[in-house]
Amino acid sequence: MTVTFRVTPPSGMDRGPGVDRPAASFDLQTLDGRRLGLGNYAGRPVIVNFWASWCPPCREEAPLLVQLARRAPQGLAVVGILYQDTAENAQRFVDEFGVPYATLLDPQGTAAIDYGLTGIPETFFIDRTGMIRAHQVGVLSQADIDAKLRTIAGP
Amino acid sequence: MRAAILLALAGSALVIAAAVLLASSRPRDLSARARAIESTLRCPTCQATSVADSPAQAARQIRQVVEQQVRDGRTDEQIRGFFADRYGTWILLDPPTTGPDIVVWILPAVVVVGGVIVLVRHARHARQANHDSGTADLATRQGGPRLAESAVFGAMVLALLAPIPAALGLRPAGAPASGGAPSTTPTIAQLEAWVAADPSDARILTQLGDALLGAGDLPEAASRYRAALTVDPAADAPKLGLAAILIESGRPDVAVTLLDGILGTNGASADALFMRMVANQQLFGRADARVRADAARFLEVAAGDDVRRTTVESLLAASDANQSSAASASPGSPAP
Amino acid sequence: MIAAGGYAFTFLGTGSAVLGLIAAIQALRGRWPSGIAVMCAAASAVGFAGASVLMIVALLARDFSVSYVAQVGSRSTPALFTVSSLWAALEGSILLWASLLAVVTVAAARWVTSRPPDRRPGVLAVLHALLAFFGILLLGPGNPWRPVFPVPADGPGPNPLLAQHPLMVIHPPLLYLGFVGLAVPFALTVDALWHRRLDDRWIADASRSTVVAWIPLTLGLTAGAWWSYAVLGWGGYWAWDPVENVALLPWLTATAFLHSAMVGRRTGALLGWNVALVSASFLLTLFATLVTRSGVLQSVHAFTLSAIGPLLAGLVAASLIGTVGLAALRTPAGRTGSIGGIRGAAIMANNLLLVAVAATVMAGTVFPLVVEAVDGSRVSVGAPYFERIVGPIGAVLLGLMAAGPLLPWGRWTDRIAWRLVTPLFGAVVGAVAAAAAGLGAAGVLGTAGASFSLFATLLSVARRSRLRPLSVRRQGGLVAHAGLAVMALAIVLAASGRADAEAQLRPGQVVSVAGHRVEFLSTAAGSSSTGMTVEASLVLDGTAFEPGPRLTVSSLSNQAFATPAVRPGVLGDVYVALLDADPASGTVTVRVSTYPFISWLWVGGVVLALGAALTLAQRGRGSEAVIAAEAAAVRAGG
Repeated sequence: MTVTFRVTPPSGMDRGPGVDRPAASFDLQTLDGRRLGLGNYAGRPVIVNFWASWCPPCREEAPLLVQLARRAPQGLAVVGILYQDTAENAQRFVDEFGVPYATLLDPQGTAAIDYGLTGIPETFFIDRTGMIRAHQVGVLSQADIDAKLRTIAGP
Repeated sequence: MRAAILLALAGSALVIAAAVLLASSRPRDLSARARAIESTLRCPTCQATSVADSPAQAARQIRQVVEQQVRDGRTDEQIRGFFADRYGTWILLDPPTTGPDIVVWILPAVVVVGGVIVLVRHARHARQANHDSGTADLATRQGGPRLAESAVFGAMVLALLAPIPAALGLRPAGAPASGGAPSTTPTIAQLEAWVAADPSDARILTQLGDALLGAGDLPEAASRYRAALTVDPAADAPKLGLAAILIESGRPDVAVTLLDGILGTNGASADALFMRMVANQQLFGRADARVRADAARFLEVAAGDDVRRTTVESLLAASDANQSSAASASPGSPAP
Repeated sequence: MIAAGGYAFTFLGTGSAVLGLIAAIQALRGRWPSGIAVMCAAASAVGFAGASVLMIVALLARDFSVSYVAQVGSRSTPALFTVSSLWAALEGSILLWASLLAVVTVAAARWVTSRPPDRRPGVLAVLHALLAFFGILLLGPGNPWRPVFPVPADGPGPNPLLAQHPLMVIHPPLLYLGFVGLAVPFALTVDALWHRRLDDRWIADASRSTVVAWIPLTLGLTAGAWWSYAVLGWGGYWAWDPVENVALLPWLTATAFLHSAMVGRRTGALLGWNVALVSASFLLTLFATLVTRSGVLQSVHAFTLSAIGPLLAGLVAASLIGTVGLAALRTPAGRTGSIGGIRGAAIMANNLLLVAVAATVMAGTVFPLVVEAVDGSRVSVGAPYFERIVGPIGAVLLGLMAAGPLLPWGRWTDRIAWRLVTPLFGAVVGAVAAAAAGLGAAGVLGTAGASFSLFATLLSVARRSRLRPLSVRRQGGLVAHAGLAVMALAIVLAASGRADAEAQLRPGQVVSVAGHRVEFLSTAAGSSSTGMTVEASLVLDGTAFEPGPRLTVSSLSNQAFATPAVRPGVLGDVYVALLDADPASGTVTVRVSTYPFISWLWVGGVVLALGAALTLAQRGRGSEAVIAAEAAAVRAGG
């Protein structure tokens, strides 16, 4: 508990004590019934995106994340974690946007608590060594993605 | 009588103390402990309610975690630390007793102690004064200094008027804020700190450019705008800033090209119209058809209370007056 | 059409206020008769009240070409909440502020006239200046009559939380009435300072007009707490939210003044202190308006979004500078004298502690805003902080409140000690009962303190009625004390005696809490004016629990609001909040809570206000002679 004050620019910027710390691991069930954890992506940069089908900004940023996951620069993986939503609604969202990456169910909210979530969407950028390097509260723009991707790119 | 009073006092104190002891000797069950912890944690998705009170789902999930950890035998501090670690100390409803937050903890004591001192001194003073004369000294302060009164009045007027210039440049209260953009005017130093923390935020870079432009540092402002454009080539705001710099530094012609680009995709940008009007005015004079067209279009699209309206209206009126003399200006010549 | 009329009325109100200010200043200089300023006040009241009425008409007619209606109106909002939308957002509430202030100004002008020397010019100058300020806000940056084009077919409606319960219809006007009412003692004080006339009549009138404002303020705060309990679904009534805190601040200082004015009236001492309390109370109402109405709470950075915030800040600063300057330059040294024996000492202690509570609440509310404005970080000052500091101070205040009326305006004697010992019986009974009921240590201590307070107050009532059977006014203060003691008891018992259970239920399942059985039957989905709703039908202790708890998902914001179901009772409430409903499995998650004696909190609040109203009764003009005689007697004897 060394961080007493957080310097927060007005909005949409990095927030939270999560940056430059190891990302919390999780092991959850996917929409299609597999188990998946952060460990499955060892050695790859990962973007963890918390979302829900009822959240309009999530709809706004979904196409960008879909596009990014398709390109997968430098072996990048994208993982969605569902926040306070039903599997059916989430499946409809996944079909609508053609989401190619895994969506994890977090019914107990344990992953949300481990990541200190204060709302959605929130997105964490995790580098190859499993450290969180950037964090976005609120909707992602292409510029946000490009800039924050840089923090987890490279070896 | 004294003895009876003391007896009654002692007796009631004894009974109350016994009742309190009895109450505190009852073991606190785990759910009471969990509740006590939950009431010191902030519900992360609410305004100001605690995890204990909030009906929100996020609060319910945290309650489950707290109850589990209480059952697992973790201490109160460990559990609170668990959440502070994940959410920051912001999640704790109590301000810490270290650092600047100590102010809020000491203040009540300061007020009480200070008040007692003032009162005691007042009482002593009153007793003294009673000894000395016992007469009221209403007259002594009569005819207070005129100068001081004028100063107070001046300061009041100043306080009332000071916010007006700031207020004039602002939009009306009901107007929606532009999508979540930083809405205050932070200092250049603050903006530079934010840019240093995240050099890839086009909005902050643009704000910094605006601030530098306001401070008259054109080269530095230009470099910030360019940086913003590198991050977000589609953004209009940095281009407007660059256009302003170009006009300021005597290249309205280049500014017009830039503004043509903006207006090509967003013809209703009041800012761009206004600026192109200014640039063309410098190039061709106020009676030029392009200036008048932009001015007219500006009046169509600008907000009803836009302060620039008056400028534009007076420009149109003035150019109406010498329309005939300006008719010779070559209309429609392509922008350089 | 309505917009033009509304703007014209607003203009009439503002113009009359400006003229009234000029007329009042001219009257102060002896050039114009003060009747002109009074007429301006009446014209201003017509203007602002007319504008408010037209706005209500526009809201009811759903005239979305008016910007304010487009902002808070909607076709699906019921008529009652459409009317109350007048104060659901910024511009409308400023309009209400101005209307109430204009009416209060007319009332004040009528009230002060009857007593020469003529104080109307000074009082009306202050009130007209305030009216003119709010009028200018309404004509410029806060104009609710801006045309909207193209005219929308429907609007978003008021914030769904504000359109659920009739208490929200009465709470803001009461609070605002209290706020603007405090402008009258402030104006009287400015006038008295200006003429260096801080005399017996000033203190009597300032305290009387403070009582008049204090009644709606108290009722407004109680209604707000009750609304929070009945609508927000978290089971509490006071969250120490900044919006609540800033409304409490003027109440605390006004309460302090009502007590120190008693000392002032008797001994003539404490002039500066009383000036400070009256001024602080009014300045704090402006501060409350600034904090709640400038957007500073959504985010410090939203503050400068509207011009209203900086302008209000300018008003607060100017009023503060003017008041402090005037008081510093023109307060005569107090007539020296005792502060009125041990009763006076107890009142001074009460004042000190009330101010300490106000300082705590102020610091806890403002500090996070300051920190956020300075370096952008978020600090947390929440309910536990306030409770830990205000709780103990409140307990001492409660003791002083109980003891105060039993103390003489003179020296200590053993007979008085005996008077104080008797109510300890109440404390003992309370402590034993609380321990037997299984409350915790804090609950036992709190119950002991609150019952001591209640018992002592009742003893005082009995004593006074024996001494002066017909003096209703003299009982008013004690009735108010009894109301507060009841509130304290309710607060302690509801907090320490509450029981909760959270359960996921299938149809037919039962959850039991503190001897109450709640059975879940089914859910029914529906839609309301604010969004999609799910209502659970429950059976509580064998009878249908209606209306059941609801979960409303707002159609606009996708926020969920849990509207609780409450079965109030004399001994306690059963409170059920619907936390979640899963349509697939048919299960619901509910939280069932019991709050012992909580209804007495609202009853106590009403009794508190009633007591204050009683002090106003039976005291016409003739009583001034009584007070003067009483004061002379005390001074001669002291």
